[in-house]
Amino acid sequence: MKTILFGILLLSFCANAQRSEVTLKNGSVVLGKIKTVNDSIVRVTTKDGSIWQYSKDDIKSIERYDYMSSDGKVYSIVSLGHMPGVNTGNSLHIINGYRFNNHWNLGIGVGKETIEYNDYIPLFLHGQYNLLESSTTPFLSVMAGYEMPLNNNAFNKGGFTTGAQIGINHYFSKHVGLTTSVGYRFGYFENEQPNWGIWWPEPVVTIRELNRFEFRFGLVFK
Amino acid sequence: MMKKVIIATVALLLILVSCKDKVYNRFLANSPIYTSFEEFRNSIKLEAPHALTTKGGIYIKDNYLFVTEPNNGVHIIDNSNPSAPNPIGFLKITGNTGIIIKDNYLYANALIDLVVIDVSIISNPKEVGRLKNVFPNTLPLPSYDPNYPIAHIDPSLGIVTGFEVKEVEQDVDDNYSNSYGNQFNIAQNEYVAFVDGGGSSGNTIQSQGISGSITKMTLIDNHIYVMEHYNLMPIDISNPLEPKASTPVSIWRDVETLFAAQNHIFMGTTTGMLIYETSNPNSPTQRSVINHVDACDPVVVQGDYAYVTVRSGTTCAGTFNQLDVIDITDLDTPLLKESFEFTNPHGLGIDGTNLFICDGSAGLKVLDATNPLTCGNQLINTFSDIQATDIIPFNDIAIVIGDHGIYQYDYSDIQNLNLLSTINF
Repeated sequence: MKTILFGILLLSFCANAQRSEVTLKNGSVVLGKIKTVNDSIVRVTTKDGSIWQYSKDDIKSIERYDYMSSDGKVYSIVSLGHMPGVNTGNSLHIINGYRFNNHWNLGIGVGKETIEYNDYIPLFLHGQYNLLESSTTPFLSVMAGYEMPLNNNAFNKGGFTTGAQIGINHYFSKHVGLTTSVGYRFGYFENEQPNWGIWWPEPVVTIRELNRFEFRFGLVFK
Repeated sequence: MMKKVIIATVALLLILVSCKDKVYNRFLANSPIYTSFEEFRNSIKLEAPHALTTKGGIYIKDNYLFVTEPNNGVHIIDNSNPSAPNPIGFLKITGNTGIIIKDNYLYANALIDLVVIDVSIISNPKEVGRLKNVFPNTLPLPSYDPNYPIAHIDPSLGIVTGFEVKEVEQDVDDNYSNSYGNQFNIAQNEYVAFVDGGGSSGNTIQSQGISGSITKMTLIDNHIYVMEHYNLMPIDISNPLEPKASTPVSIWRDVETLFAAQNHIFMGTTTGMLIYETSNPNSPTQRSVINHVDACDPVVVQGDYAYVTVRSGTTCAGTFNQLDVIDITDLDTPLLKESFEFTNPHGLGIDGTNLFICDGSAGLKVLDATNPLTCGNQLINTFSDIQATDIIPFNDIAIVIGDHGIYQYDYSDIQNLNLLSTINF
C-alpha cells in the first residue's frame, strides 16, 4: 500500500504541466505548449494534439498558464489517511477553507477516524502553505482540533489531536488536483473506567498519547 | 527540486517509522516511599527503651527477653527477675519482623536484608554482617491503605519503607501483579523460633534462644530457614560474619509457621503439615505431608508426636477448631492419631507433660500430655482470663502474648498460674 501511494506521488510530481496561454489580437485564446519556429512564427500544440501556427504579428500576448492563478477564494480537500501502528488508524478528512492567495490557505475540517478500535469525528482547523505558484507545488500543512468519540466504547472521552504534513499538490485542471502527503500526528485520548472492580472502587483513567506517522492522499479543489 | 523533495520524504519516513504510542493509566494508589540504600543500611542502632506499641513476637535467651515491634525493631528486656522485667533498650531495625540468636549473634531480617548483630555486650549491640537482597520481594508491613492498589515499585530507587496515597501514572504494560502482592511480599509478623532438638521441652539453653510457635524463621545447626512468600530460604551461618544464601526452595502452599526438630522442618500450612528433611542443609526436601482442611495451624513437636492447632477465622478460612495429634515416629508417613475440639486454638507450647493451648476467647488451657493420644481430654486447668495468641513455657515460667501485652506466669503449681509481671502494649 505504501509503495503504490509513493509511486503516485512521484508520477504526479513528474507530470509536465508547462502550458501557455496565447491571446490573439482577434480575441481568441489558445491554450497549449509553445514551440517557437522562428522569430516571426509561433507554433502551438493543443491538448487534443492539433498544431496551430500563428504569425507573431497576430499575437497579442503569450503567458504561462498557471493553474494556481485561479480567482477562486475557496479551497476544498477530500483525503484518505493511514496511520501505521500496532493497530493501524484510518481516516477520512473533508476540509473547506479560504484561499488568501496562491500560498496561504486556512480552513476547517471534519471527517471520520478509527484509532485503536474507537471511532471519532475529528473537528479541526487546517492551515496550508504552498511553496510555489505553479500547478505542481510542495506544501506544508498543520492541523489541530478535537476528536469527538462516535460511540461510548470503553468509556471513551475523545481527545485532542494535532499534526503536520509535507506533501505535493498537482493540479491537472484549473480547479481539480491531486494531493499526497506524509507527516506526523499526535493525539491525547482518555478513557475513564469508574473503578478497578470490587476491590478498589476508585476510577482509573487510561491515557493514550498517539504518536504516529500519517500518510494522506486525496483530491484538492479550488 | 523533485530530487530534494524525494530525499526529504524518504528521510521523514525513516524518522517517523519509529513512532510509537504511549499508553498509561492514571489512578489513586499507594505510592512507595523510598529510602536510599545507604541510609537504610546505616540505620541500625540501640535507642533508649520505650513502651511497646504493637503486638510482636517474643524470644528468650539466657536472662533476656526480646520482643519484636513489627517493622521497627526489637525491644531488649533484662528478664533475670521475671517479676520485674527491666527494659534495656530498643534495637532499631527498619523492616524487622523476627530474630534468631545463636551464640553471641542476633540474626534479624531487615526488609530485603539479613543483618548479623553482635550482642555479646547486650547494652552495646553492633552490626557485624549483612546479607544483602536475600529477601528481594519483601515490602514493609501494611502501612498502605488497603482501599487502593500498590503502584509500581522500582527497586533501583532504594528500599520501600512506606507508602502514601496519591495520584500516579503508570505504563499499561507494567506488571500489575505486584500491585496486588503477588510478586512483592508484605512482611508478616514473624515470631522467630529456634529449637535445638525440641527447645520448648525445657532444655537448658546457652547458645541458642527459644520462642513461640507462630514463626516463619527457624534454625537447625548452622542454617537459618526463613519463609519468604512461597519460598523457603536456606541461609548458611557457619561463618556468622558472612552468612550465605542458597537457592530458595519453592513451597507451593501458604506456610504460616516453621518448627525445627530432629533435623527436620515442620511446616504448618493452611492445608496441612509438611515435613522437610535437611540432610543437605542448603537444599531441604519434602519428606512427607499430612493434609487437613483449610485453617491456620501452628505446630510444635516433642518426641514422636507433633501437636497442631487448627483454627478458623480471619485469613484462615475453614470452620474447624481443633487440636490434632500426629504420630511422627515414621517421618515418611505421619499419621493423624487424634483430634480434639477446641474453641479457637492459636499458638501452643509444651514443656514436659504440660501442653499449653491458647484457645482464643476460651482462655489459656493446660492439658496433661503424659499420653499424647488422650491429652485433649486431660484438661488440667482453664484460665479464661488469659486471652493469649502464643506462649513460651520454659523452666516454670510461661511467657504469654496477648492482644494487650506480654504476661509472665509461674506455672510451678500447674493448678494455679501465678502472674509475675505484665508488659503492656
